[in-house]
Amino acid sequence: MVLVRTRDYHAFVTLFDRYRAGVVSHAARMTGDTEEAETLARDAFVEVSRRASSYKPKAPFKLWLMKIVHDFISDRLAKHDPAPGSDLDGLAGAEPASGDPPPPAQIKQARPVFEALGRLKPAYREVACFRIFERMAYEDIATVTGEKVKTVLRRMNYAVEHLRKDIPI
Amino acid sequence: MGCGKLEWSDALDHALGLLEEGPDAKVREHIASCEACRSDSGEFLVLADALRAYGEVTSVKGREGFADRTRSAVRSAFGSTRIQAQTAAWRVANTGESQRLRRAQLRKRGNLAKALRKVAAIAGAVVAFVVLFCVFFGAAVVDRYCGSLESSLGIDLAAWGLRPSFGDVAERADAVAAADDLRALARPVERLLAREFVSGTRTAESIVLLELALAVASQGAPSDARILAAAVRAADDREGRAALAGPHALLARKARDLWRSGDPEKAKEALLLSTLEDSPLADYYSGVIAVAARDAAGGAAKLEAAAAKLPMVWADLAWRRIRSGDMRGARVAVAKAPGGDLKEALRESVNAASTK
Repeated sequence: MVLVRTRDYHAFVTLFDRYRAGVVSHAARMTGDTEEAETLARDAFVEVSRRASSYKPKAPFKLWLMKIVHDFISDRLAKHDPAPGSDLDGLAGAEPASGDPPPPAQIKQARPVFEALGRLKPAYREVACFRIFERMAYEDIATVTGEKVKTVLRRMNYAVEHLRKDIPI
Repeated sequence: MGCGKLEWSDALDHALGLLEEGPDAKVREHIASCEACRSDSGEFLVLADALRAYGEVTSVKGREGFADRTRSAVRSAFGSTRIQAQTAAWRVANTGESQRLRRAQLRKRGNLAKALRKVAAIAGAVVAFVVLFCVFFGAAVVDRYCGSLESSLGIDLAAWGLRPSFGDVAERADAVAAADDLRALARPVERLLAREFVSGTRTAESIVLLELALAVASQGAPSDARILAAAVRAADDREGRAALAGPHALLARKARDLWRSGDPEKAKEALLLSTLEDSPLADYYSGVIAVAARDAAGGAAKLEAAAAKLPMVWADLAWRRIRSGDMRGARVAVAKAPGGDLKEALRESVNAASTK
């Protein structure tokens, strides 16, 4: 990131390759739409290059990046939250982060989760995605979302309770 | 979950293996010891599997087209020598003109909403301030601003219990039994006084009497409550105030000042407490006249004792003589008063009163 601050393009490419899967995956889980996720991820990375000069390495870079992603996604979902379950096949068809495309059985197993997450309010969905899939600590989620840790925990409890009820087991 | 002691999030974190050893061991122990949570934890294992599957399905890095567009957008941004802060993000992101305009419009709307929220917050703060002000300074508002309102609307806020009335204060003064009761009257008298100053509905004499009452309430003993009651009643009584004019008003102020200066004994002496109950105002005047005689220059001091014992009319006369420098006339008035020729003295007194 220090090199990116000096407008080093190659350093940016390294950074982009390292974090692009995390950003696109999170945006995809939040929006449920591959194209939308890619657009948001692109905007976020362009924003990273734009704000690079103001970056201060006090916190981990991932948190700083996720904060930017969070801003873009919040802005996007405030205007339009896509209908749940609209594009899981498209999502699964996008370039997988590693290995082969998922087998149909796995996609079938994932579909109720996809739909249940889509029915959650974006704020709750975001906390659940950060915790479950990004494995972020609650304090880090609070930093990224700009909420109190207590609020994040409350949202997580609500989200889990909702998922448990909503996903047929 | 289950028994209610375990958080949903902890149970899922445990099932997903997200907890550190310490917290995880606690959850494990609880599940092992709690029947209700044990049955729920089975569900969580299945849920965790489904979530893992979903996580794997949605772990995507985006298509190569997206990666190329992003790289080229950033390259353009880095290549640009001068980026305008407002538009650079859209320009480098290859956003279309219509989309840029739509976003600008949304931003404008957002700014308007922000401004409205700010105005609402300010209005709310102002209302809250006014309410708090009324709660804490309601009495001051009533005393200071509602006098003219009352007279113009013909209403009486005292009847509604929003401010003290002269009658109430006098009655409370009559019922004073302890020093605390007397001190408690200071605040209502102060409020009466504040209203008198502002409203202008009464005369300066009324204010003098209330100031005297305030001094008594602040510094007097329970037995002085009679003075306070008399002063408050006199302040409310039109005739009593009318009589308190000219030199009498000056003398009333003197009595008040004596009390304020921490010499209540002299002030009480001046007020001739022994006869206050029968005719408060008349004795009040003769008392303060006697004090004035005491303080007057020259030979007046010699007349002090005699003048202090006189009924009002004689004291009045004696005082007038003293003040005008007619010591002889004063002595005559004093000498005549107890058992001499009252006729002449009374005539002079009447004449003096008619010249007020």
